[in-house]
Amino acid sequence: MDMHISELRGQVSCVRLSGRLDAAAADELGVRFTAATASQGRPAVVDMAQVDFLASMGLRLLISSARALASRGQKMALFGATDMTLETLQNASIDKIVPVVATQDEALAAVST
Amino acid sequence: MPPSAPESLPTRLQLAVPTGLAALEPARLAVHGFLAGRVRSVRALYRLDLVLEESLMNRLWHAYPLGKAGGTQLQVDLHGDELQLRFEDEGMPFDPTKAQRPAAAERLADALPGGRGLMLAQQAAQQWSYERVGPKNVFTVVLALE
Repeated sequence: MDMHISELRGQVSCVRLSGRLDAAAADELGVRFTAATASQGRPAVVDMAQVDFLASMGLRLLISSARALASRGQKMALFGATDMTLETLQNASIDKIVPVVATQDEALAAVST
Repeated sequence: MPPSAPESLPTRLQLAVPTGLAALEPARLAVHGFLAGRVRSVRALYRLDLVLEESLMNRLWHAYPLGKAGGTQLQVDLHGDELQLRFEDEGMPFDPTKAQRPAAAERLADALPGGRGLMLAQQAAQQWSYERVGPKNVFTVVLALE
């Protein structure tokens, strides 16, 4: 799994993931993902458009980081999920606790409110 | 000379999957190789991957909690438009079908990060069952191939 980190509008961390977010990837990515999101102490958006598989250990990573960010008063949003990863997010009710939206602009709006 | 009959493809795959994270991807690739050209539904393959990953991870968490060496015998049977996966191990008794689902949290602060694997596997499966046979956990999942 690959991860690309950038900054949007000078104040939001953007993490673009690509590949399979399975147990092995979550294990490999964990510290870097947390450093790119929760440790920054500012809002974060995660581009899921190139994630072609999402399993429970990937969900664990996303929830842990969103929680850590929330504890610092900031939000995280996911955007661009494909049909099948979106189904996984919905089946696990992640969309009830973390904004899951279609576009980057919607994600930026969700973390700014 | 008449053409020879096409060789029939095998309908059963048996794999010994060692306990450990590193064994997941080779197991997945072996199952995909077995099904190559026979399952074209991307959704069915996605659900297969979910069941494989979550079931094998579950064995990793629960079957050998004290670090005792052990693995999972995986048998995959292709029956028409259904796929049956049978996971066998000799670890601690654990019935995945009775595992408690995490409560759906209304707020992020109340959400537990983990515990969703078996729920995802169940949602992907058409049916699942568990039995303890002698010293073995036998967990069987049937998937629709659409």
